Amino acid sequence: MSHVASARSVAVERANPGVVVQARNVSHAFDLGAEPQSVIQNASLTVAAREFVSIVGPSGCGKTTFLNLVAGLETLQDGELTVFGHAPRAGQPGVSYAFARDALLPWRTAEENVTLPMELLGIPEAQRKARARELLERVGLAQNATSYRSQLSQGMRQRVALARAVASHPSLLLMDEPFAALDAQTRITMQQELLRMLPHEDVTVLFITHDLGEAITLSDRVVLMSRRPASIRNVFTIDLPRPRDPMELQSDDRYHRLFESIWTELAHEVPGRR
Amino acid sequence: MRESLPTVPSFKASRATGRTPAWLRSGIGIIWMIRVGIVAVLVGAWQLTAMRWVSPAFIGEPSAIALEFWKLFGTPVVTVDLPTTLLETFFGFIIGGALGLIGGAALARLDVIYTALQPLIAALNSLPRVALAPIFIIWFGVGMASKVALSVSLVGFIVLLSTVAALTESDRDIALLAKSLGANERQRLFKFVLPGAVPVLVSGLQLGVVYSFLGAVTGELIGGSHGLGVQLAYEANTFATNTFFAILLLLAIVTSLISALMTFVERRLLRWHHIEMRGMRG
Repeated sequence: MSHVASARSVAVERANPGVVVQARNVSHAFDLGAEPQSVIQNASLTVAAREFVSIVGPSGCGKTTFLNLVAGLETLQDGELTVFGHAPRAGQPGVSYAFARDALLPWRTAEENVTLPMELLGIPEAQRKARARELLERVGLAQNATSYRSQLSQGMRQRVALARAVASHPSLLLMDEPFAALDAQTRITMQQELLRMLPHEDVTVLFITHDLGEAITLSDRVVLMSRRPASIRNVFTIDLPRPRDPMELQSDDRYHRLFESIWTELAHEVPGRR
Repeated sequence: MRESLPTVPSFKASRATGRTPAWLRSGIGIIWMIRVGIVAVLVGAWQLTAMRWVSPAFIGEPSAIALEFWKLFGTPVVTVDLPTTLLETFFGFIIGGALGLIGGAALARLDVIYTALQPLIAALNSLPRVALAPIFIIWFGVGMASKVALSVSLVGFIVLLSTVAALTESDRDIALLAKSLGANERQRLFKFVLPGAVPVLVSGLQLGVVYSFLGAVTGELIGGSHGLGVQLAYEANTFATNTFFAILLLLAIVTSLISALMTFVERRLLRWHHIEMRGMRG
């Protein structure tokens, strides 16, 4: 793994305890052969505690790269970035990452997959199992606790992955298009699960999606990223009341107005569209 | 099913309504019928050929082979030679398997050395190991040691290569998961890498058992005083064709039993993998 020597020192934020993610002028480039390709340019974003923030933008614009920087899976090259006031680090306690693909371990049952993060933290077995059962129950998979990955449908796998992501009570949940691989109906079910689950968890969410409707449905704020090299183009506050239901929102005028105003701006960023 | 045609019996209809016996419908019954049928036809044709056209001195005769096979029990073939071969197989497997696992694990970690050694390993592995049997007899004598050495030379490479493959072909998603969960090196190995590698390791070891047996018997054929291979060579040289085939039958039964045992152990150990494979077949 190559560490980029030019990474600047990261300012440690102590002042504001309510700030979970603080990004200032974050820039990032991929080193692809001849010349580095700029992916993110001067992106600045602040995510407050218990906030649900979605990032939307044209595909390939650098959304996932930004999330990976926050997760510490990608090394910061330029700018300032803090997570809970510290430099991001992969595997930081309290930060959980949900992938676009389920990444379930095929040799573990659904329940054993959910207990995995707690195992790594050394939480006692009885406590792990109780928590896993509670979560599987909440995502509607109590009957499938002993099923292996190959015995679960794609939607069920994502639900197990969701249960695993929140298993160790993370304070920050990073989600990279977790429902992208699902069909339309299952995706709406998953959004319902997530909306139902979050009030029980004291958690801040940074959510990447290419589905604008999904972003509006779930979020307190929607961040619109420009095309490559990505910067933050605009931030929209979603003032729809909670609890929300993905199906009922479909007939909500405010939802459609928000969708249209964000879509108009997003369309400018999609290549080949005006 | 079409409601308008309830009186027309069809194969499909009888399947659906369960008129076919369960053992036939499950597929296992059909598979065994095919197996037994093929063996019966082949043995029948063999018997006929031996009775009518070709001297049994050359090809043996199934009825006589069955008798010889029965008579093997109680003779030194079963009480001395079979245990000798099995013991050589056992030691060849244990030593070769251990060397292969340790060497494979080491090479999987030191990928520079593995890349450097790869052509050499490939060359050694493609060498016909049977050709080494005479030199092993010079080095280790005509006793069990030279046969074990031949088995080790076969098993070691098979297990080595499958171990390297098992440990290096890791899933990118799982590697990323381990990283994002902050797993330490020991946790990464025992919770994320090894469990996924076990099916490949086990199939390498399964192949290793068969090759160890093959190595032992081949070593005995080249030269020795005890073992099924020694007996095979002796019977063939004295034109005792029926006894030769009876010993061959004994070999086949022993190998099948060893394979079945390995499969049984694998299914018990790797229930998840068995379920996954079954799912892939449909």
